[in-house]
Formats: sequence, C-alpha cells, structure tokens
Amino acid sequence: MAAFVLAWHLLSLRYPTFILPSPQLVFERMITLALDGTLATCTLETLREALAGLLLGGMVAGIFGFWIAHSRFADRLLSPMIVATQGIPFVAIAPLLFIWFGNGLLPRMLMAGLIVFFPLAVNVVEGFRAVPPSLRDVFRAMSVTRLELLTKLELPAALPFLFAGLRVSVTLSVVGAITAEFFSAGRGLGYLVRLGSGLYDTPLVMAGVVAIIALALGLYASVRLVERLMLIR
Amino acid sequence: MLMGETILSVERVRHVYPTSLAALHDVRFCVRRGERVAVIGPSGCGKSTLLRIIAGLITPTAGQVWLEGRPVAGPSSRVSLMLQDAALLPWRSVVQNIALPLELRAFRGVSPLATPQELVEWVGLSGFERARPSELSGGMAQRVALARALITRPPVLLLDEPFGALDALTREALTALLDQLLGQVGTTLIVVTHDVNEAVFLADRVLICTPRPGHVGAEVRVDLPRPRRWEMAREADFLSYVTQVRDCLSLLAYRHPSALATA
Ligand SMILES: Nc1ncnc2c1ncn2[C@@H]1O[C@H](COP(=O)(O)OP(=O)(O)OP(=O)(O)O)[C@@H](O)[C@H]1O
Ligand SMILES: [Mg+2]
Repeated sequence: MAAFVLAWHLLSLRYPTFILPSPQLVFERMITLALDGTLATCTLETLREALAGLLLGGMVAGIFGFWIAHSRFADRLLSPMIVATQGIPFVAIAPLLFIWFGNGLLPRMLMAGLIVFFPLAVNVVEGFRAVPPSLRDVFRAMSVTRLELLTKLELPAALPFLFAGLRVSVTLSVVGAITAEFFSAGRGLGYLVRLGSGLYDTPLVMAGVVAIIALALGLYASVRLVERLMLIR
Repeated sequence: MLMGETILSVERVRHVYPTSLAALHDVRFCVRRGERVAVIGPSGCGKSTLLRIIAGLITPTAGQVWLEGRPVAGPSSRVSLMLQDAALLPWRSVVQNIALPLELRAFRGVSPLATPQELVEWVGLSGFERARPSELSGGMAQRVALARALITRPPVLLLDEPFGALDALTREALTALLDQLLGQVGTTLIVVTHDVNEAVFLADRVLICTPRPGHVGAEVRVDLPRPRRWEMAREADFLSYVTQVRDCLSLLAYRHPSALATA
C-alpha cells in the first residue's frame, strides 16, 4: 500500500496534474469534499442504490434459485434464461432504464439488481443442491415439515454458498450503481466522477474513484465479518 | 424378550424404478413387536429400496406396508432411520445433533428416551458433547446417529448397513452397543447388512434375499441368548447359524441367472 502510494507520488512528478495528480492533491480534494458534505451525500446515495439493488436482486435470485434447485422443470425452463442475462451488455441498457423508469432510485437499483442477480442465483442453486442426499433422507424420514426442512437443513447448509455469492455481488452492486449514475444527472459517486471528467478535474475524478473503491472494500469487509460471525464451525 | 403382536407387515411389495429397473419382486414378511430382523442379500438386490419403502420415503409400485395396523403412506414419527452415512449436521455439536428430532413438530409431545446428555453417555461419547461432527471419527459419528435415532423412543428402528463403512473392531463394538441399547429400549429392529456375522449377532431372524429383483427367498431363525457377546461368534451354535445363512445365500444366488453377472 505504502509502496503503491510512493510509486504514484514519484510517477505524478513527471506528469501534469490533469493527467496524474499527486496523491497529496487527491487526498486534499477528498478532505474538501468531506468537509462540505459532498462525499458523505454521494457515498450514501451510491450505497443506498447498491444495497437496494442487492436486496432486489437477492430476493429474485433467492426465489428463482430455490425453485430451480427443487424442480427439474424450473431448471430446464429458467436456467438458460438466467445464463442469458449474463449476455446482456449492462452498460448498453442503462440509458433504457432511465427512459423507462425516470431518474429516481428505481432505474439505479434495477441496474445494481441486474448485475448481482446472476452470481447470487448460481450460488443459491448450488447451495441448495449441496445438501447431501443422505441428510435429506434422514430429515424426510423424521417427517419434517417443509418449513423445518428449509430452516433446519437447507438454509444452514446453503449458507456458505450464499455468502460466497454475497461477497461477489456486494462489490458488483456498487459497480451497477456507479454505471447507472454515469448515465443520469445529479447523484452519487458515479456522477461525481463523471462531473470531474467533464471538467478535466482529474483530482476530483480520482477522489471519486478512491471513494468508490473504499465503499466496495467496506461492503466486502462487512460481508466477511458477518460471514465469520455466522459460520463458526 | 417376549415378543408381541405383529407391528409391521410387508405385503407383496414390488418396486420398479422409473428407469424400468425392477428392484423388488413380491417381498413379504411380518415383524413382531420387539423382534430383531436382519435382511441380507447380494449387492444391488434392493435392500435399501425395501428399507426406504418401509420408512415411507418411496411408494412401492405394488403392494403395501402396514405399520401398527395402518398402511404406510409416508414417513412416520414411529420409525427411525439410520444410514451408512451418519448424516449429522456439521454446524451442530454432538448434543445438538442428538437433540434435533425433539425440535421437530412431528415429535412434539413425545417423551424422550433420555436427555441428550444421558444419551451421549449411553453411546460412550462422554467428553465430546460440544464436539462438531468434523472432529469425530466414523465410528463416533455413527454413535451420534444412533443416539439421534433412539432419542424419540421409536417403536421401529430401520438401519441400512449402519456400520458398513467402519473397520472390523469398531463394527463389533457398535453392534454390541446396539444390541445392549435395544435390550433396554425394546425397539423393533430391521437391519440391512451384507455381513453374515453381524446379521446373526444382531437378529432373531435373518431374511435372505435373492439377487435383483430382490425377493425374500429364505429365512434363518437365530436362537441365541441375549445379551449377545462377540465371544459367542467362536461357539458352535453361532457358527452353525452363520453357515446356514451362507448356504442360503449361495443357494439363492445360483438359483437366479443374474448371479452369473455379479459372481
Ligand atoms: N433412484 C433410483 N433410480 C433408479 N434405480 C435405482 C434407484 N435406486 C436404486 N436403483 C437400482 O435399484 C437396484 C436396487 O438398489 P438398492 O440400493 O435398493 O440395492 P441394495 O440391495 O441396497 O444394494 P447395496 O447392497 O449395494 O447397498 C439397484 O440395481 C440400483 O441400481
Ligand atoms: Mg443399499
């Protein structure tokens, strides 16, 4: 980390500020942004969009994943479609989302939701399928109810997979939110970066990028933390 | 122990898997309350299928199983099932695994055989109450599975090659433990095994199956005193039962053309 900052500093000496500002300059800009409240506002907005998208994508992925894992019919019907969502060029449909759904939270969380859907759905399916058949038999032989099967066997067994999916998608949800923000005026860290690039204000761009990375890392670390607390085995 | 009325009867059970593979053919036998029955037969003859039908996990293509006078239409809280794989929940400790059935709606109101703590002692795992399944050997895991199967005081216990994956010494220790626990609880036992000694050791009656499609082709009554000890396995009585079962097995195998493929 320190070596990286040092290399950045040395490199920045050779280039003009609008190409590569020094770390110090970026740091100062971040302080200014933090002091006037812009940084917090933008970060919270992006966080809100990312988490809303994660929730939405997670719920849909949960329902579809559960269904696919438990029914051959659903597997045949839905799996190709889910794989196909991976072919969507998300950047290309972002403008569409704004045309259809206005400039509110909805298109932004949809974008984040679309991006996280695939990794989450795959892990939900894998998680439910990972329940050993012998455990399933022993549970069924104890005449468990559907709910008991879910809460006492399937969910706990799928938990490591759910967390693996969550680790990937929590950072992806930030990517989704930022992508959406690039296409519409007004809000979030993505907008800040685009604003900076429009003004050739490279320190602002880099300050935004640093904030985005910090946000993604923070979310990832939170997931890891919860995971560690829940999966003491 | 004195044996009571018929607790379980298997009537003309036939099973054909969707792959149109005939697994069982006209299986019929009765088991009396408190009786211990071993089912033995060549690999793939449908023993597991039979046990799963009795447990209500699959519905036979034809025929009917009666449990305590009622037709089996699905899993019952009156039957416990234990498999070759201990099937413990890896995120639960030993005591929590043993206590699992008591948390289920099906066993609400059932008075447990003993507390989970006591069962840990009975199966010889004192000191491992808090251990996770990953910290247990195969034999220890099966002890936990046995305790979990017995905690609900099931009238019928179904075992599918419960000790098949264990080494000979552990297997002897666990069959002896099973014999002793069953003596205390009075549970009716149906155990599937491919070990002739184990079948004779555990059973009052050994049912011998033909190769697939499985059919109970012979029966050997084992009249040995209880509790049984492995020292008996060297005595003439025990050995004569073992020989009888072996003879039945080879007789049934030769009677069936598919034996040529498996021999
Ligand atoms: N779910 C299934 N679908 C199709 N065929 C099956 C299924 N389960 C078992 N079979 C077939 O039915 C036959 C009997 O299987 P089963 O497992 O009951 O035999 P088994 O006597 O328990 O064998 P083993 O001693 O090896 O455990 C086998 O030939 C097997 O291939
Ligand atoms: Mg089997």
